Amino acid sequence: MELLRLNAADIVKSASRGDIASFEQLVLMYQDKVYSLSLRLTGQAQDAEDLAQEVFVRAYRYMNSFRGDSDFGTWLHRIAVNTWLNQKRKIQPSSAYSLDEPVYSDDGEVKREIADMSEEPESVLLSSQMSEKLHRAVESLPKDQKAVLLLREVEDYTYEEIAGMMDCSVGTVKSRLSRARDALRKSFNGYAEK
Amino acid sequence: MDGEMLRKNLKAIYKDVKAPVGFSSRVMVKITAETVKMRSSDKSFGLMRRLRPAIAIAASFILITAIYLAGVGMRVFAPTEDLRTAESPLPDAQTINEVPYVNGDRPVLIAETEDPLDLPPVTVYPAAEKIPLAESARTEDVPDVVATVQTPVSDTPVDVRLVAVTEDSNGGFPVPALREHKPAATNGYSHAISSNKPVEIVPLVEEQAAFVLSEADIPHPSVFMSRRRVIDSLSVNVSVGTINNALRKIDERERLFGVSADTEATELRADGTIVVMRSYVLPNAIANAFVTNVSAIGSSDGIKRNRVDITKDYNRMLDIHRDFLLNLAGTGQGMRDLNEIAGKLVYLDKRAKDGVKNVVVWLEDGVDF
Repeated sequence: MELLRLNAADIVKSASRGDIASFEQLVLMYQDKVYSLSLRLTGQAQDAEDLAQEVFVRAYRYMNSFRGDSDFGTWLHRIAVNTWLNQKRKIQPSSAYSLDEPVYSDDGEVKREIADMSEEPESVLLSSQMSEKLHRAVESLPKDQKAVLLLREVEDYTYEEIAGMMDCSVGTVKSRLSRARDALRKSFNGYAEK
Repeated sequence: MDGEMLRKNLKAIYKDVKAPVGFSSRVMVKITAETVKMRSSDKSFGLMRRLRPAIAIAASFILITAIYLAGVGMRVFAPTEDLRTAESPLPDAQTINEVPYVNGDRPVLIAETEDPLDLPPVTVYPAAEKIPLAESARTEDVPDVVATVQTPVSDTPVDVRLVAVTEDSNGGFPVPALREHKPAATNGYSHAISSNKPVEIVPLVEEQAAFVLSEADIPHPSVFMSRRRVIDSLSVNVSVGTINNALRKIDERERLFGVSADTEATELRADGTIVVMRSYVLPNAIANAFVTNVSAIGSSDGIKRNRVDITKDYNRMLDIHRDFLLNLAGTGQGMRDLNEIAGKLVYLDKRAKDGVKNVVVWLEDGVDF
């Protein structure tokens, strides 16, 4: 709670000057945000932790280059996405995790929950099977498309922000997003036809 | 499925999750390790960084990776029976070779902080991710174990804390056992003997020396203590005709000197040339001769010397290690993290020992000889 009262910009500034204690505060403040995205990108808890750790190590290494033009969390997400994109694909391709696989949290093992959207007519058909299908479809997307899809649809970044994070044009972002959506639709149409 | 529904469904699947327990500590350990290594390599690789930034970056990465790798596969050791640490100090003038107390056929552990890797072997058990806390309170049937710690101390006696990670012989899980120990230190050495008293966790205070018994990548117990640590290093950049020939020559010299590299890394540059790094921890007596000999296999820009005090950084990692131990006792989770940090401490310990030098040899191909 004490952390929340501190001014994030001041902490960032202090960390930029090499104050390791300030950087530790930033880690505490942003660890959930970074880990969440890392888990979405990698699909594996251990890979997510490795990626999230690497993000903070790189952030510490390059704190001097953070000019404060963007939100620090956005900058961390940018590092996460680029680090993940630059990682070589692992030999075992099945990075998808089952929705039945528990998540390890502060409270121990927690079963994944699919939000209950039964009150929303559009979502009535979203059974757990369909969720699994959607999840697998996302996991099977090419890395760049998956990154754009998650940043846009889940993290709610603007096209411009995503373009800045991925060092590409807004047009490229839109194109990748469009292809990702098409792939998911095709996947779901196939499912519906079955 | 339209765009809006897709978005809702995706948000439903990819809900926010919290970072795992101990995540921030693990990050800070990595960062601290990086800081240590960067500082200890700054001068050594200064010239290289000026001339070839890409190599310098690669070098830093390699070294950091080496630190990380030092923590992989670590397991907290446990003797064949429960290990307990103790409160009663040994009589004065006791030395490491005069273990005063062995209770019958019960196991004996002797740990010497001056060289934590040269300890008698103990049986290693597989690490367990979770430790049932209830197991840690069991004290019956606990054999006495003697833990003798020898280390130079200041003129005034210091409080010493022993922390042991043990394995319960019945449950098969390591059990943390924490004890406070206040030894006499009249002869410049501090000692500790074990007992069977219940587990007790007492916060450390400043100026206390912190001891942690754990396992390195070899099946020996290690003792980490808070003391001044300095890494002395020698590095040389050697341009050679072909890397393979150079490596064969270095292999010959390694055999000649009876040494072996503890880390080797290769970097393929964008222009197709190769840079190989080998690092060694060598006794002072042969370090200079070895690096001089190796530098002669190609064109060298001279041997760089570097000396870095890592005391503060090491102590910081030790604090984190202690926090993990306390967390382990409280929650029974985090053994993997504990082992990883212990591995890093061992890695640094090995390099900051008195009487050794870290020798780093860089080979770069492209020059004919």
